[in-house]
Amino acid sequence: MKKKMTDLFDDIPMEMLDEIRAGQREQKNYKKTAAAILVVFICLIAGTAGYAAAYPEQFRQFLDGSGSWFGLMLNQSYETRNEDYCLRVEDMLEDGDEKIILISVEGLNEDSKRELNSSETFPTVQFHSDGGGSVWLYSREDGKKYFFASYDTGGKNCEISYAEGLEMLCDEDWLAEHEEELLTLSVKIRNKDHKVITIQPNRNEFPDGIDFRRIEIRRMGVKIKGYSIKKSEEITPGEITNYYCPTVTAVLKDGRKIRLIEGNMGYEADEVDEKWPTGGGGSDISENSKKKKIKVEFYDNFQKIFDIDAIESVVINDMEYKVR
Amino acid sequence: MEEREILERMKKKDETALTELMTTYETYLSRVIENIIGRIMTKEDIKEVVSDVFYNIWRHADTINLEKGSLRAYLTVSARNQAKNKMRDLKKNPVSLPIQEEDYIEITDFCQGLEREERIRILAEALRCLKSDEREIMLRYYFLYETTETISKSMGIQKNTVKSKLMRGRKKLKVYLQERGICQ
Repeated sequence: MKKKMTDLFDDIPMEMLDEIRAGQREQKNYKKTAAAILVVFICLIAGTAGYAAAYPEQFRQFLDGSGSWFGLMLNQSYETRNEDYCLRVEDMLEDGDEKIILISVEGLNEDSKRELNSSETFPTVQFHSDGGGSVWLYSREDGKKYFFASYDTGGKNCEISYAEGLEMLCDEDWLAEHEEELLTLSVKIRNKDHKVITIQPNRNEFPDGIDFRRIEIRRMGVKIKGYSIKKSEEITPGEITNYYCPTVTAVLKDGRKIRLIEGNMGYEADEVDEKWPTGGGGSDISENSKKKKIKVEFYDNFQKIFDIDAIESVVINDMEYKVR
Repeated sequence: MEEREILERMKKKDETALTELMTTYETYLSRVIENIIGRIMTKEDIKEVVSDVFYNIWRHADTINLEKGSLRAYLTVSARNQAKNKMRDLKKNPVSLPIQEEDYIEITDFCQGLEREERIRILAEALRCLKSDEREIMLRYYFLYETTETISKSMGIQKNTVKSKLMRGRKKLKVYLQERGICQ
């Protein structure tokens, strides 16, 4: 017969209660172990897409619904388990620095399923390289959760870990104590079918202090590297940076103009046929005090795949460059 | 407050001893009771249960054996029992019950047939197999009905750690009891 745990505890010996110390204890101030080199933002989008359909529907729904991303999928999967949980990398997408990983965590018994259902723990993803990204809950079903990890990093090797209660910055004691529970997958992300259009703009094409050296257009996003200067103290809503950033437009072989990056140097109002949907853009800024130059890297990720084979030329602000 | 002295005075029906006991433990017992029935009863009802607890210990002071547990422990057990009795009477809406009431364990017929003293002995052994912090968390959660957040603050550890220790504690307890034919 079933008995409530609280009723089972009716029968505890009284002296055990005297072991419970009254009052509040100080939180131990352990040295934090940097479980991540990347700065990671974890956000919770709980079940926005409803209950999970079977993989690879996960990717199809998340990306653009057309399945056009499947060519970029690496068909790599990894799995590890203990008696409570199964941690699995279902698959990955990779395009240059842009990496998207679909991770699942499944409870393998009633206790762990119940724990997982009420848990707020996310898997941690650790790339041993510069960059940034986020992990979020994509969907859930009873006893199983799917997470997406999206990172912009040059790194190829990462570790994905899960244990109930795990956080990105766990103290050493916690990690030591939970060593047996910690599931970790070491993942190596393969290169696959890389396509990139690289534009190196003419020198002296930009105002003093600004020098964009390299613009890379891939199927999953655009990256601009070079030097720039600050335009305003704060980022204007809708812009990816408060530094001067060029407008990037693709001219297709059929003559259509597609805006890929909305800049802020006065060319953003130029007419185009379509603005390609983007999201998750940002910038990396590093100042070189000796050279008095500010090195910048702007990037914006596409929300649906862009067929870069269709590009005839690329316009940076108002200067057109033919694609070779 | 010297417990033996207080108890001796209560046995002699010295009302000032009861007043001292109430001053020391009223807040603590209110919290224990509130953990269990705070969502289904008013503050006044909780005060009434606290009064009943003190009245009971006053009436049964002769039966208290401080070798078995402190006055505080006796009061805690009494408060919990009375609050649980109230909860059984009033639980019309399951949503109002503490979340601890949703955790079950499958008990064998063999366990049902055991004398209470034997059950206490086995449960004590099982709890002694846990690490001291796991045991404290289990007791706070299932006996005192404290939330994981309260336990986290009281013990100075992260809430997630409380949850993982609870999970481990449950698992160890279950394995121990399974090995002894107490649960399935």
